[in-house]
Amino acid sequence: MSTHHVKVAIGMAVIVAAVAYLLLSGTTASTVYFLTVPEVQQQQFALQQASHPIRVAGQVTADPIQWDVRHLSLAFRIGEGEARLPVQYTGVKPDMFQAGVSVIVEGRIGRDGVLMASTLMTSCPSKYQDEKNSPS
Amino acid sequence: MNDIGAYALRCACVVALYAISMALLGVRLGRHEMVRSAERATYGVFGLVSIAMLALLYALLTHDFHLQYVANVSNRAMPTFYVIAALWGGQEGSMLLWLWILALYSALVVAQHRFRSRALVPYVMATLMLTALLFLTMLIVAEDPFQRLAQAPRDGRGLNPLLQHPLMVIHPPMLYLGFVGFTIPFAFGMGALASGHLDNHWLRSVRRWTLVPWLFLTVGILLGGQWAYVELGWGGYWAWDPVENASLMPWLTGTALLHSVMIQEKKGMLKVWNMALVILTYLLAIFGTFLTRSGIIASVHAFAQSSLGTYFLLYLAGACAISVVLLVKRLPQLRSDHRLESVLSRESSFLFNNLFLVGIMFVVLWGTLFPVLSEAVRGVKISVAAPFFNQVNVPLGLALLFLSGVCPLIAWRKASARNLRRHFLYPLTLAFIAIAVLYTAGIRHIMALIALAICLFASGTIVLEFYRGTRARRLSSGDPVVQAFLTLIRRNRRRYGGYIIHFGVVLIFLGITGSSAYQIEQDLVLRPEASAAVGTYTLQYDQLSSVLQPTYEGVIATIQVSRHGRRLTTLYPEKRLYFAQNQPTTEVALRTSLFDDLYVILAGFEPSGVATFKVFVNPLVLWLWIGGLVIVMGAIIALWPERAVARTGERRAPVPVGAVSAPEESF
Repeated sequence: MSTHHVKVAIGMAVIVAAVAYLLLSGTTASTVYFLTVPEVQQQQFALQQASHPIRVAGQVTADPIQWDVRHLSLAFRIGEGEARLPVQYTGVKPDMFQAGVSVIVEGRIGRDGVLMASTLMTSCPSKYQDEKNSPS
Repeated sequence: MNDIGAYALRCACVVALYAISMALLGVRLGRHEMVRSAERATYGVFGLVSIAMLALLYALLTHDFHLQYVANVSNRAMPTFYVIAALWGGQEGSMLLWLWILALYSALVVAQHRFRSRALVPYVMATLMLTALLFLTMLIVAEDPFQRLAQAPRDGRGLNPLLQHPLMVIHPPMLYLGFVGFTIPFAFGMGALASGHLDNHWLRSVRRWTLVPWLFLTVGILLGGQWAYVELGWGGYWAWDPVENASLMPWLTGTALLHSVMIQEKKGMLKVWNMALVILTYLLAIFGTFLTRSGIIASVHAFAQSSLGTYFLLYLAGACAISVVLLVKRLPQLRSDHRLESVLSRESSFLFNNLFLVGIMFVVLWGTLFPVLSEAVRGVKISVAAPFFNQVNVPLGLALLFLSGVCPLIAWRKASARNLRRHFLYPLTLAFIAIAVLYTAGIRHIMALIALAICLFASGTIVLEFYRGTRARRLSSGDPVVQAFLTLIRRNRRRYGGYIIHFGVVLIFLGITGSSAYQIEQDLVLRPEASAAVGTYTLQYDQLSSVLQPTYEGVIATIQVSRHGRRLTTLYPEKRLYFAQNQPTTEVALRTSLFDDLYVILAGFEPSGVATFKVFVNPLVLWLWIGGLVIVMGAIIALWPERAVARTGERRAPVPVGAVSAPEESF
């Protein structure tokens, strides 16, 4: 192999290594654990100490939803089966948000067991096809 | 009446099967009339799928709510424009549109190539029809758009109001024209591998067929971003959502392919790599459709949501296996004609550019699939958040932008110090001066500084190249500047079109830099007649008023916008409630300028009239869309047929492919 070849190979290796390094460091720095509502209930105390955020999916329950317009603060509960999880979110209430819709929330569990959510996502409009509203 | 569509799809299924078997048998047995028959069958599939499309369109326009699809996505109150758009507003309809575009492309390719690429066309048809068969099967078995309801409801549910937007009407067809179009390079690649005609003919044939879908996909992605920006109301245009990532991945490998193809054409190198990119791009396009259509990622409990996943996965595994086997079998015939001679050469810089593009693709794929992967490997579902994508891709993207300035100008084989000085001395100096000036002007955001400097470097190389070319032409022909400039572009559309596309990309990077590094976000709680300052703007909130429309009722806030005491405009952010879906929507109020966008959302209000607004100031966002237009312009210039090509390219003589190396040097 000529020296030019070695140089080109080194160049390629540097790029591959850079991508791999960025990928791995980025992955460890921004992991979010996916949990279900029952799992959150079980691991309540461990999660209060944990440093990483969690992402929980569930249905907004029929409990009253508290929406404080002045502080853009939204308090509600999500559930799956019997399990319930109180959520406190600050930000604009998503348009699709109402009791019964599936949401994904992301944040940390506070001392009081409330999930302080920094992200609140409702299901994507292209999948807006649930049986409940079906005309049949 | 509506059974016509269902029947047409079933017939198309049979005809597609027939086309595949006739094409493959015909080429094996050397029976040309069988291949001819397969060609006609390909046209037939297009005809039949068109009938199905028309049947569904007819059902939508006549409000035939016996069809579940029609009842789900349309209602009587919707304007006709959106009733037509509802054709691709739901799952089944958009799959039908996908299939129809594929059938259209197939018919066009066969018509264009049945004489020109006779050795490849049977395999090309078989590949295209096999893809069509996948979608036909899903449309017939799992996602029937002609599914009937036992009893028709009086009115339909209507299209989701968020999708009732002009951008959402053209975005899906654009995206699909891009996605589906990548099937054609793949089909030609398979044809070359299967037939053993591995010279550069197949590659030349697909050059346009790669740039065309690439252009559509680019436009589709940008329109999607613009829709998210003006309609979803969270102040941004890109969220690294799996659906967005799905469209970005084939775009990245397609972009890599557009570049590395040139190295194979000019130097006969990277043959295996190009074939691999063709295959990868196709698989990613199918995979992207799978991601968006099966709901595997978007929702946590999505595995049972749609039965489509299995079909897609089986097909992907099969297509992947077949193409890899074919590729491995032909490896000895895909040796490079030349070898790399230097790191500082055009060949190497293209290779590096390709590595970056594929690297970014891999990062996006990794981030998108991470929840699934981690669950499979470690049993816990872990996702990576949006910061992951930005953190990893920003440095890679900037390196790529830097290379976009280097690649087109650095010398082939081995760059001399003179070549480097000639092309890069001024642009590099410009970039360093820019860093100094911007730093003294108070810009301390490191990434923004680097990004702006690289933007200047890349545009500097482009401007220099145009300047030198124009000057040379002026000196040789004596034409005035404008004419010399235009002739320069006309004489080598592909090259200068490419530069223009690069310039568009620079503008997009500029927009991304401005809006991500300097976005201002503020919540305002205002009583009527009160005002507040956001950035350099002053917003005065007048009052709320309500409107009643046939499909919705709305509450509108009136806001006077001024800057330094000078009145600029009045904004009307709005909240609507659509009756049919019982769904509120937020209508963003936007004031766009070349410097920044003022973006106001009515977040909520009280009966007293006190309202809460979310306000963003997004610098330079407009340049994203301008960059998109520049890219479209550049791509059209590159695609525009040259007269010389029109003459040689239209040769209709049935020449065996292997013997031909048509002089289609100019694109």
